[in-house]
Amino acid sequence: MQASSQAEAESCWSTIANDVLYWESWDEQHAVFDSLSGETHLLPELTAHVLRKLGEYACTARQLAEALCAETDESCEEHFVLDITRLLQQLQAVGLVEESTP
Amino acid sequence: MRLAELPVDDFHHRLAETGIQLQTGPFTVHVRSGIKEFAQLLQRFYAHFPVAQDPAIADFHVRMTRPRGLHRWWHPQVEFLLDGQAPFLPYPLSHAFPLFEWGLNWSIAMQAHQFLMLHSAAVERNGRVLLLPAWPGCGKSTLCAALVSRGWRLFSDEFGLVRHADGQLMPLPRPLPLKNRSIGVIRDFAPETELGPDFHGTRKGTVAHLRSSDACVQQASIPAPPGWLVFPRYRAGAPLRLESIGKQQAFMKLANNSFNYQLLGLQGFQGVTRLVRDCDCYILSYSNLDEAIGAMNRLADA
Amino acid sequence: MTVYGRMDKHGTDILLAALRDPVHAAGMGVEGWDLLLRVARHTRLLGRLAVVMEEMGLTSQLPAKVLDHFAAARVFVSHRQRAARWEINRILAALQDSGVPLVLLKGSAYILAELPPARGRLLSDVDLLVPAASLDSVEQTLLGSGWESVKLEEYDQRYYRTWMHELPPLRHPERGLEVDIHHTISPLTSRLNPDPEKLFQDSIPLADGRLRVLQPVDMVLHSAVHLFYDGEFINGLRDLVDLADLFGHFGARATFWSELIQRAHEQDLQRPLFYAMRYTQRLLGADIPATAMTDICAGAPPRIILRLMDRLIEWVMVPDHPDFPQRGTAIAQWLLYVRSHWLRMPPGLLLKHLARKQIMRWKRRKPTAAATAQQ
Repeated sequence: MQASSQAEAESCWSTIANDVLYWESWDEQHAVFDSLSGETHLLPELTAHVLRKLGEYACTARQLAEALCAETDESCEEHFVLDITRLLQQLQAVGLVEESTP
Repeated sequence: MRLAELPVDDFHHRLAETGIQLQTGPFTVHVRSGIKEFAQLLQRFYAHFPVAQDPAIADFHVRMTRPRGLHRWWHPQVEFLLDGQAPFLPYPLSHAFPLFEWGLNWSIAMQAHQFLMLHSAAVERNGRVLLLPAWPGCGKSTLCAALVSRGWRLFSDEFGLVRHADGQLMPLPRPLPLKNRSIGVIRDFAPETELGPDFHGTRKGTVAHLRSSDACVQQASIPAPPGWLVFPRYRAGAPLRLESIGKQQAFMKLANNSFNYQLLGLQGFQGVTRLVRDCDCYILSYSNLDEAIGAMNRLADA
Repeated sequence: MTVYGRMDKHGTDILLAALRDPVHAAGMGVEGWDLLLRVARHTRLLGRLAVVMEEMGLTSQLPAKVLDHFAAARVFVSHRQRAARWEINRILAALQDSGVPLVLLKGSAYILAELPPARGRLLSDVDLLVPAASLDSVEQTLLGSGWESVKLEEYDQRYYRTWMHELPPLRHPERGLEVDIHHTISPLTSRLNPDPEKLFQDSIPLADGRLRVLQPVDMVLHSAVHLFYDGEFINGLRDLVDLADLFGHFGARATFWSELIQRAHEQDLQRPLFYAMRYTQRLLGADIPATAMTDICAGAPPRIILRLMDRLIEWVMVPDHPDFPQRGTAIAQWLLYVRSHWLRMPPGLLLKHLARKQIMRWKRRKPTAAATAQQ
């Protein structure tokens, strides 16, 4: 209960429109071309997964971290939420995701 | 009509007055010059190239001309003009031919965005193209010249021209410039190939040009699909090693090596990913040309 | 046997003719196209020609070679337009909560408002208009977010800030486009004195409400001031094409011309509007109602000046044959440059500035690193 109200206070993350991103994937490696910026980004598996998940629905860093942990049946520790937050900030810096405060 | 079929006097006259229209691969180059030494070399290296007789649309309008000024008397120079503009500083007059070749490469790289342009040598065998993408100093021209002397068809030592529509590579046969030690290496390796005069003291040291074969010029309008992507790395004394690399690494190397990847946007991304998808990708370390050629032949003949 | 070139200067009217009448140009022979492609590329109008001819469904009649050149030119245009949109995207991200109204000018306005001049238009910088009071905060925010002042000599810096209507250009080191931030549409010292307050008041929001463009009549007036009073005629013909497109697009509305002339009167911009109407009509065949032309005649200069301007503008706008450049064009460009500075600054200052500029240009006459590095 407490955790979820805390999550609501956090800002919400989303990708830029899905139709501007073009993907090419090889095994566990990915390249994504952003047709807005004209930049190509090489992404490791986790980052690509995060970006695709945000393409499905917008959510907070905590919700995202919990969803990722649920997929692998692991418990979601605080430092993982921080890692995801940092990752989102990096993606924001290159313009792949956007942050909005509720 | 081939350039060699023009009577010599007529050729010189036309080159100086109206210019001639050389056909090289997908490009028509309108070239004009009154410089006799340049005309002689142009005739020698492009003798077997087609010349457009009827009015045509040229892709590039090049003039090789002597800049005005007093220094023309004691320090004769030559300028490369593209559409009347000089993108480079003048060269010593005796270097007119290498300047023309570099200038034309530069013009293509700046303008021909109807293609994805890779900085790569390209040679064909068994209907598929071997791309050797590399920045200068990796031995790409030497390896390319050696492959061509052993029967591979020359597409280009400098440009992998990829057609957007179908991903096919376009031949762009031209004289192949060899630098410094490579000149001797190729003279020894393939004594039968025709090398032009040595130009000493250019920005790249000594340069000599290898004349492209009649056969590859005759087939200059026949494109071919890509087959192999091999990043060459010459190191003196290195044992032969042909190492398969991952697609992501190949993608990154190839995109970084393209002249116009960034400019092409989505077309560039799709072009490079398609190439990487369609090709087997390797890094080749070598020091011995025979061994390197053997390895490439095995790839192509497999 | 073809004789290349050897035509007089008016041989290059071929570009104006093609801009006026693309249908006719599409039927040209290869010799005409050979020259047209060169001249259009040189004046940065090849992409424009490509887009217009494609829109008009003319491409099936064109030689294959022309289509290659069109494709290459469009690559370049798309790249620049994408870069401009992205630069604006990044500026918005940097300024997110400041609430400063951002009015897009020129190329980026045409592109984001999807106006006809955007078709195939090349641009090399992003021009923004912000209220004078916000100039410092906008500059500081951008400098704090990674943009850098484009290196200028100190004198130029001072010139920009004190006498011009913009900050020295900013550029983000990871990207190529320059960002020019203006607080009015003509220099502080120029004899023109339009009121920037009015421009902001009447500007129009775009779909993304954080961005605005000038209302149609102001957009035209700004384009005219920029072309005839800013002293840079490098892209002169392209800018004239912008104006002709704007006239064609907005002029369809019945009240447009009277509003335009009224606004020019209010803002004291009849002279540049007169030039814009006169030369788009003369050179590009713009469709301007006779009554509007009569009404703007109040903005005409004295007859003798007008005759000189006619010559100079034609000289500068009609590109040379690439193989036979005429010295006249350079002189005309210089005269117009001097004239525009005359219009912009008090005369004493003008002499000082031109003298400085000459000296600096002369000092800078060193081989360019770029050209050398290519070899």
